[in-house]
Amino acid sequence: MKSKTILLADDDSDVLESTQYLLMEEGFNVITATNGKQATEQYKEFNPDVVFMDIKMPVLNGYDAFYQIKEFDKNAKIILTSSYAIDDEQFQKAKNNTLSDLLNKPFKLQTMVHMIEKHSR
Amino acid sequence: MKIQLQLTLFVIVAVLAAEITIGYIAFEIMTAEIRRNIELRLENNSDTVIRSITGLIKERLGDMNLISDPNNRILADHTISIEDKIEYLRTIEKAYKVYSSFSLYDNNGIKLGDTRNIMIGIDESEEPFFKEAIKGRIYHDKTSVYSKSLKQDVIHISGPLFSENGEINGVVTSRFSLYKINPILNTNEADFGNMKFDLISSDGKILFSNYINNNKKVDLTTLPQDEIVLTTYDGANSILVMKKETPYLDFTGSDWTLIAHVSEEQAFEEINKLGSSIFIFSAIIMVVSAVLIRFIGKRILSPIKILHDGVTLIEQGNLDVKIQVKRNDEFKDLASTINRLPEIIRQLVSLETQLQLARDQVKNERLSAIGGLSARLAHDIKNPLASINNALQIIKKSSANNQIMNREADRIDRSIRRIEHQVDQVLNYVRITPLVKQETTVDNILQLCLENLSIPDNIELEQAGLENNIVCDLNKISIVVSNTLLNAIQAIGSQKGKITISCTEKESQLIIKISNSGPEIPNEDLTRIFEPLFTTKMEGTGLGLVSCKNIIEQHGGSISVSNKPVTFVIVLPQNP
Repeated sequence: MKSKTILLADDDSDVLESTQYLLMEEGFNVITATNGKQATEQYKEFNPDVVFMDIKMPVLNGYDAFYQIKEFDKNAKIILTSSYAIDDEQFQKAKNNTLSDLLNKPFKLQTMVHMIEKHSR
Repeated sequence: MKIQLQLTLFVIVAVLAAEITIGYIAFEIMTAEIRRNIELRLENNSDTVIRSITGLIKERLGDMNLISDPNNRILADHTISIEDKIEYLRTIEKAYKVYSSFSLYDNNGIKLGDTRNIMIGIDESEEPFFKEAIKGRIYHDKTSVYSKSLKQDVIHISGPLFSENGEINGVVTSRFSLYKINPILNTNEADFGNMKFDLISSDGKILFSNYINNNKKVDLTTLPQDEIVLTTYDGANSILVMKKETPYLDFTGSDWTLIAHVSEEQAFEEINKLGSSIFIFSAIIMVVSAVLIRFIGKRILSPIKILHDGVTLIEQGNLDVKIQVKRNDEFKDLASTINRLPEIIRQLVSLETQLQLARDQVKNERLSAIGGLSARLAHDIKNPLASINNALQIIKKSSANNQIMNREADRIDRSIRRIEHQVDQVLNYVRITPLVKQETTVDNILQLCLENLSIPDNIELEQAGLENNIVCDLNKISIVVSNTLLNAIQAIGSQKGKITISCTEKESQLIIKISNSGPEIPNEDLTRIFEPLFTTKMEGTGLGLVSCKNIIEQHGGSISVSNKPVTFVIVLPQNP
């Protein structure tokens, strides 16, 4: 069985790299991006199974990147990640627009794996 | 007391006082005037009467002078018979109409003839009128004498009769009847009015009265001469004057005294009548003014009720009140002032609302600034925390067999969770964000909580009636339930225990009860448990329950806590 490809987008390189390592240890292919624009380009190039997208990022933030990817592929599985409890309008809007899930930092590896299993076919 | 009544009483008292004052003054003035008038009349009339009586008697003496004059040939002529002489005297009597009779006597006092033809031949030689006249003098009685033959009081006026050669040979006597005074008193009847006159002799005998006098005698010494006095006379209070003379003449040839008097009762009869008409008039004025003031009062006061009703409406919050007073006086001014009030109140209310809005805005801006800051802080803490967490997991994987390493890794793990929890609590408290409502069930809320919260094995979780629907902010309410569950778990600790979560529905409100078997909360803490920064736990922020309270209140509900067993009761409107 072909291993799943995960796109991680986060501007914090420590978070990005350690998470990448952990997921690779679990047997996933992991590609990374440090801003929303890059994440969109990576998605278009590699068409990953699941995207973990930090909301607060430079150049293009998580929400905008989410919409751009959704425009490109409306079936994209995108999970927004955040450092704080999100309950604002923008989140609600994204959620209504087939946002797959939300993950709060710091991540629990089991939770991430569970989400990947749940959202990828 | 009602103004109407006050006004009526005031007017009645004022009218009464005015009436009494005016009445008293008028009465006094009139009484004085009447008294002065009476005194003047007494003075004048008594003088008139005295003059008239004196004149009358003087005329009679003049008559006698002429009759007994030696040159009067008729009485001196011995050839003329007694009958003719009497006839002559009878013509005089008839002419003057003041005599009762004339008599002729010889020089021995024997009555020779009489105009009434009575008692001819009797001897009256001892009578003063004969004894004085025979001496050649004109005589008259000083006081009246009761004439037995005439059966009335008379005054004898006598004079000598002369023979042709000039010797005294008899006496002629006239009897002047006191009744003849009556016409004098009656001629001026209008002037005299109710004035009474008593003619009194020097010994106090009443000679004549122009009314029925019950007195027989008058003690003249008790009355002052020529002075108007108020005294008891003839059994009544009378204004009285006693006179023996006028300023010009005395009672010629007599010692008479005239008493002129008016009884007080009669004198003031008029004024008493006036008094009673004043009283009636006053009573009428009083009644009229009372009626008038009732009418006027009603007219004056009727707008007060309208104004009162209007103001009451305004007081009750009706700001569309327009008071209509159909008047052109101060009430109209008052009404228009009151009519301006709602606008002023409206302005004040709007000002107050704006102020409140501004305050809220300032507060919100401050809170959102703090919220923003906190979010940034949380981000800045949680990102490194995420990499620490990831790093820790990598280390744990790569040193799976190192016991000490694992123990310390777990310690770091717990510390990470604590920091995470604390940051979340602070964020929940400071970031009051709008509610994002959705329809869900209590069970959904609980499941969301349990995703992030594991119930330890020593604690049993009992659930009842959680299928109730509710419209709420799922994430926020789950924070509340999570906090409450976490408190319960911490309270029970490592002992065996039970947490019960139940839900009932009452009057479109959901009542969620979360109770635990842990130790009871001290009473003094029960009231403070929802205060910010209040905590009894070492790891507590003091923000958990106050955040819960904020969230529940944001939903229009309430949260409370009680003991036996420790139970948090959350009341939420099902569809806020």
